Amino acid sequence: MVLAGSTADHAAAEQQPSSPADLEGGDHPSSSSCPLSVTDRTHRHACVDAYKRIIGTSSDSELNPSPNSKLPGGNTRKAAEPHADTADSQRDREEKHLRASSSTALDLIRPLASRMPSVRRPDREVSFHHRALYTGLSVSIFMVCSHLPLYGVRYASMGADPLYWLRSILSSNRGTLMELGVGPVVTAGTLFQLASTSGLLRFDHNVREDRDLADGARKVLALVIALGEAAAHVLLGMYGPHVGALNGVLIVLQLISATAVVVYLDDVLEKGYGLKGSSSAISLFSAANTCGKVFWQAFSPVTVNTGRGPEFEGVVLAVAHRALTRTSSARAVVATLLRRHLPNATNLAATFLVLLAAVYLEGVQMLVPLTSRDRRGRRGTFPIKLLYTSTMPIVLYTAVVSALYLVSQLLHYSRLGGTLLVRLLGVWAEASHAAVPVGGLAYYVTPPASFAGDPVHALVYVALMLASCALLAQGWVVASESSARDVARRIADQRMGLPGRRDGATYAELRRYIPTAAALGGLCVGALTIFADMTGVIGTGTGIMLAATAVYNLVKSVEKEDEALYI
Amino acid sequence: MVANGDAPARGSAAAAASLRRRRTTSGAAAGGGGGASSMLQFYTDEAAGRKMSPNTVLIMSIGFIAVVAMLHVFGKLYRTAN
Repeated sequence: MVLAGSTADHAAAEQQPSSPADLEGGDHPSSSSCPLSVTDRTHRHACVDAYKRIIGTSSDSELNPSPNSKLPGGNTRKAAEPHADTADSQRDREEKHLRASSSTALDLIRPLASRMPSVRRPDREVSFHHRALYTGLSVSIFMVCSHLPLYGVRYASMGADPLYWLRSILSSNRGTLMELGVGPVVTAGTLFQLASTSGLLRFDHNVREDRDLADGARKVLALVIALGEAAAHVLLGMYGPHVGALNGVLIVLQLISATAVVVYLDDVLEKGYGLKGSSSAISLFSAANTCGKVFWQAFSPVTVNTGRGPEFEGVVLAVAHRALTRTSSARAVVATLLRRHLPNATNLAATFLVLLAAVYLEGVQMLVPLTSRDRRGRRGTFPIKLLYTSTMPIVLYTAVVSALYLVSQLLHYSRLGGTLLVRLLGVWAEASHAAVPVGGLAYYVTPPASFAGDPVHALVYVALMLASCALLAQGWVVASESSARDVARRIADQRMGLPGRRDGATYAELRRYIPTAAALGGLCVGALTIFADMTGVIGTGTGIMLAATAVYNLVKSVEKEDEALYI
Repeated sequence: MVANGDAPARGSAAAAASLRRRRTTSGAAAGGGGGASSMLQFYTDEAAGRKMSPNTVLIMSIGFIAVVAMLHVFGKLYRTAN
């Protein structure tokens, strides 16, 4: 996301390096650049924070002046931190006196929230390879957890998966420790930000104590939501009707502990122990989950016995097996490549195509040159990426569609099953792994298997998807304060502007490009997702796009760190 | 604060805004509360919840995985022995 540097409370943002390559001059990185009324702006920034954590924002914009390129990044940051700390603490005390009355709601949760253990911030910059190690270990732990089956579940009695559609954005795997995935954490974050923006909870992001308290409160909320969801899963029969009391309690305990693991791993990566590009552990986890699925479907050695003898589930292995055994004719190999009941080569090829296209689109950007008004020769660039809103449109769209599915399924399987309104919303039928909508609104927003089958469905789906992606992109630009006006204001506040032109010209110039970039980017992302869904990409279109974005940001930041190390 | 020439160049107008606020209210608030809490500032910072090191988190997660794996193993053993 473009202007991530403006989130005031996001701890990681304070420690991210600004892009070193573009600027000269010895200014240290500015921590937060909220120019106007601090509480309002920071609330709004915090509100979109929750979703940004899903997709994982890239490092902050080039507006922030970089550390002096001659010094390694650590020195200037060390010099800056203690200074900021004493200023911070003095300001803290002032603020506390002023706002004592407005944080009464926070006081209610203070006893619990303040006792939540949290990860200590590093007192000096953690070296690159330690950070890589921590990130790698955290992701590995998550992957292991998401393949370890829950104890106490009888697998024979699990039926179709009603939450199939949510799995991709929640990176959860059915029947494993990560049944709830990152759902509780993301929901807790969203609820918390909603509560703080709507005024129920008022706290100032600049006050260190309040920030820690908010952190603790978020953790508590995540665990409570996990408890609720786990209990719902067990009681509503997700694991079969005869789970038994002891097993049920064990399952709930396991799910809550798994959520605690996710919460604290997220904390570790946020407090500065993770690689710089991964401003959110959640995006890393979902990317890892998707990549795991791709890898598994390509190389799985599990054999499935259909009528024609045992076949490998993994595409590559199956093709190799078929080509190397018996009297293999070209036709047999091709039949294996295109088999219907197991992953086949078109899935794999489509996955790679979509990944390549996503990475290419991420790199398409327009650089707006800026110079400083105060200092001569200090230059910068502001990049306007084509994917200006990154993958937010499809994440939001998928979330809305999943909510629609849930509601529609609930209604369909309840007493109101046959009424007209419920049928308009969606009619469901059982398929092999999940219930599939076959009528109503839910049917039209499901990706169709092919164009030929039901052209109306395909057309409606494409039109809905593209239109909503473009609109959501525009809306998100306003909500996350990266519209042309906001960006121009931020540039002006940092005393920079277009070279050779007045300050007012920045806004005009940005206004030519940003709305177009946002809409076009939304359309591109939507089109790519449509293509991915129709060709049956492994891990659904949304999952692949998220994975591509997360990995791209990670690779970019590792490249930047490599440059900084050499200088 | 004022002596630091870098303050405006930090680009953080939040700092500037609270600078102004601090100057106007410093007379009222800083007098009584400032003295006492500055002494205790070191202790109150750490009092909010236990601080763990990241290694603790990793070790506890791996321990949790081991516990669940053991549960599975013992469950299988118990069932076959039954």
